[in-house]
Amino acid sequence: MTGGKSSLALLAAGVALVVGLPLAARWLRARDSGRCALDGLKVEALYQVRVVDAAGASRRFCCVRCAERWLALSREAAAVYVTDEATGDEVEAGSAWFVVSPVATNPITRNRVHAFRDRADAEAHARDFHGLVLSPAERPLRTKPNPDRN
Amino acid sequence: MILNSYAILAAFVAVLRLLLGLGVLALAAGAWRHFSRDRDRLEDRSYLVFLLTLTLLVLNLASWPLLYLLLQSYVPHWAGVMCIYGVTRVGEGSLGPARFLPTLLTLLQLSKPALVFAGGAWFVLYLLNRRTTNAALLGRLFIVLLPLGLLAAADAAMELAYVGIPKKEEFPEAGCCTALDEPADRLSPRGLLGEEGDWQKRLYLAYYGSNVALIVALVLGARRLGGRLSGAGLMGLLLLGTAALAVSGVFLVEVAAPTILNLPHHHCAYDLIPDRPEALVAVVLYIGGAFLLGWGAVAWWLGRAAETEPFLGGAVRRLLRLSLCGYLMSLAMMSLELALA
Repeated sequence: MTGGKSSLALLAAGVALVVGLPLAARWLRARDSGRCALDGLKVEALYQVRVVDAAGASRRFCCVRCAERWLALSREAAAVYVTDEATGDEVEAGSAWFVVSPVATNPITRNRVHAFRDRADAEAHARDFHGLVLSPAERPLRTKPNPDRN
Repeated sequence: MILNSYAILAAFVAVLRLLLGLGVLALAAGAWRHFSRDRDRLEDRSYLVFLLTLTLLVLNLASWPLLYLLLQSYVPHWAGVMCIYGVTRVGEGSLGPARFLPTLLTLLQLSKPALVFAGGAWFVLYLLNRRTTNAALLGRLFIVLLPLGLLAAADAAMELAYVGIPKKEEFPEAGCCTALDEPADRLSPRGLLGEEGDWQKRLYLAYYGSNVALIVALVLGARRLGGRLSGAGLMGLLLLGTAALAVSGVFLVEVAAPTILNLPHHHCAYDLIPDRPEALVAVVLYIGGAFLLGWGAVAWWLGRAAETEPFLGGAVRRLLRLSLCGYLMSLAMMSLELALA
């Protein structure tokens, strides 16, 4: 192979590496929808929190702690939804009941805030695990006041 | 001690490197002592020493990525650890032998690149020496082997200590006022520059500004080397390269990793290893560019002899061209990664 041809081959290999590798990796990688938008941890469906921004885009979080941190850092949320631990259904955070208990939902973030749709489920969790049902004033993930509470 | 396949492999390679490092150190010291008296005997002995050194260089190079693979394999062993950053903090504040782990890891993360750079510098001198008819750089090769062997042995000993120390943290008894969730914060990466302010734009400007300036300077420097190169010019290139390296390191942690990982508030370049390994190619290319620039300077200053004069300029120019390729490819690849994120 002549010097000119080998230089051309090296240039082609370099361009293929620089352009081809990121494109190929992006094409091959499945969309990471099951990861927390704050720290990249796997999102467990039962503890998922979803934050919707003003543009309508959704971000998922592994726990209340991560979603709270995101809201503190980003200050952009039109709506926040938590998951009812009793049923697995999604609930608007403003209408949910929260319990702080010694039970961590995530061993890494050590989130101890649990969300429930019904007050009875929240009180049952607090009773079973020596937790505390949070009052409306102490409630996390607040985006705007909810007149329906109380 | 956590024993898995990576720990066993790392320990095996470290034992080999320790023996080779000490062997090279002893042989080089002995050879250098008799250098002026019996040069023929020294040249005969150099074949064994250089063969051992080349083996040591390959093992040193392999031990660098192996360290990070080992750390990644340790992540699932602690409940509060989410990535390699957490592993680097394990042992912090502990009372037992585990308290040495963070310091050992910090030293290892510094000594690995230093070893690869020193090994590459020696190899460049070795290649220059091979082109001379009277082994004009033989004495310098043995001198460079002394710190190289010492550093390799120290690095291997530290790695063996890191693998061998039990990874069990022992904390003082916690009182009722101890924050319950402190470990979660301790093991999670935090940004260097905080979350507020417009430092991201400034970092973008600094990253592209410094690297484009370096690339232009390298183009000019590589052209001038054909004629005459001043030591001051090469020193200027080195200083610019060092500044660009520092800026690029901060840019990687604060801007590139969060953007590429799509985690804007998670400032951890370690996460690229398991999650975006292709982005590491850009990092490796950048480090390669920086090292080649340094090796060019080493060749220019330590490779100068009457016998090397005819080809030294051309050799340094080739190194600078390769350095330029590394920087260019890294910059293009990182830009594409950021655009695709």
